[in-house]
Amino acid sequence: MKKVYVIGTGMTKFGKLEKTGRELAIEAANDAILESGINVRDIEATYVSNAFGIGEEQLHMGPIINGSLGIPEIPSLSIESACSGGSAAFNQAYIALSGGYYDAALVVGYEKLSMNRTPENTKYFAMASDYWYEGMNGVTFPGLYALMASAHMNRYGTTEEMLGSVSIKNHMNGSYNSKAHLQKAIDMDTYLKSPVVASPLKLYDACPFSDGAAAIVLVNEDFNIDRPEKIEVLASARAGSMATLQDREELTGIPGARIATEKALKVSGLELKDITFVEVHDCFTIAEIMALEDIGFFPRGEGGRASLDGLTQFDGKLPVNSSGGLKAKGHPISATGIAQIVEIHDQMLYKVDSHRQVSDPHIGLTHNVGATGGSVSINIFKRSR
Amino acid sequence: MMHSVRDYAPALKRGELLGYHCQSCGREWLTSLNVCPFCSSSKIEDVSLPKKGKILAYTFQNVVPEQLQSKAPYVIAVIELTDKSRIQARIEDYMPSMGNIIGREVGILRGDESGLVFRLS
Repeated sequence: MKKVYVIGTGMTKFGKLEKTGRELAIEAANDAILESGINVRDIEATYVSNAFGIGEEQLHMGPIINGSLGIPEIPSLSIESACSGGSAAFNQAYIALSGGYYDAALVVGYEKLSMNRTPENTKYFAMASDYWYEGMNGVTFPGLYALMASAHMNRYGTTEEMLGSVSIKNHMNGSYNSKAHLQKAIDMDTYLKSPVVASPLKLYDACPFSDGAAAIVLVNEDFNIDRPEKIEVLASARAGSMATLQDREELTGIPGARIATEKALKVSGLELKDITFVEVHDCFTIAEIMALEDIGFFPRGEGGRASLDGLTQFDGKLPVNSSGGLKAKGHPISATGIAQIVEIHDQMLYKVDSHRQVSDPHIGLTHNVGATGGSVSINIFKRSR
Repeated sequence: MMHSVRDYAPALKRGELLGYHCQSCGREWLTSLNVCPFCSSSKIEDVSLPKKGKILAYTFQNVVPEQLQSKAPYVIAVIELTDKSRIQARIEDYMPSMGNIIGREVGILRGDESGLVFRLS
């Protein structure tokens, strides 16, 4: 397999934005190409992820992006994988480049949701569940994660304060991220008093509905680039779990995350202790705790305690979601998986605010989940000189 | 002949939980799948699942989908039926003063176009 490198990134502000999905996607794509420094004509294919474009009555955005970049003749592929669409698109580009089919590719993820009312967005999100056996009974997306939180708290004694510590940390990191949706620190009292959405989960356990886009330019080793530091993709692994939550043996974790992690570690030849910082899929606070246990950074049932003890702060033993995570940075569905990679890249090049810069951004891992875990992506990156 | 996912809701209205039974390993489940999720056998047949079980996990939802606005707030639970198959359903007679209801026994109350409803027994 050929080595693959991230050589340029672009990311719009995340939040409730005036711009259309089309404008956001093009802005991120253009910024990624400019940062990469390569000639746009060297891009051989574009991988575009979006989940709810139907809300803007616009699907098939790839040709529009390519046309606006002046490369309408190159192929594009549209990819949807619920909240993990961005990393699914990244994975497809990685496969094509590592196999040598293409030498340079553009990956774009974008979402535009803020023009919809909350009930519409709630309905769209529920469509990523198993409708007949979950959504029809009235469970919402927060409800599904609340069921997992309920099982986790019952089995392991995970507490509200443990969930709260995840939210507080991610809000603190997000307050130093100028592109984050929610740039506001919160305290435990604010967290505990926030309204319950689906018990045990409260408003401050949940990520916001965000608009936004992120893009990266990937090249393989055959593409001649000369720069002092490179961000190499050491592994890009995907796996799955039963779509229907109750059909999994365990409700307290996501099996696909464990499987994808095993694959990624095997391919990269790394052990977990080699990983120096991570971006994980914290659509709800419980999801970050389960992610850290699924990947294996902490034993089952101890992820909440680790968070409460500060081990996952940007200056802790294992920095988790230095970007603010989905919780504070925001969650423009299909942009999320790519935005996680943008954070890894920016941390490795010391381009982030010093209040959230991790001390050893040497080997980073991203964990991105589609729906309740039907799809999971794990990617590992290394800064090499 | 195995039932289609489309037959599930009409069966609910008759008060029947239409599921599947694996002739190879004997396990039962509700979700429409063409092979047994436990042993991958395709020798599966229709079965009426038991109407009693216990709660494995639950959430009290204050924010609910538009079509169920009139029933809010309500509890959604993952229930393990007596044959070990698992379902999700609303629990109708829950009161927040009851505290933790994990492990509590429940029975089917009704099923209709708004889904499956159980009650604490």
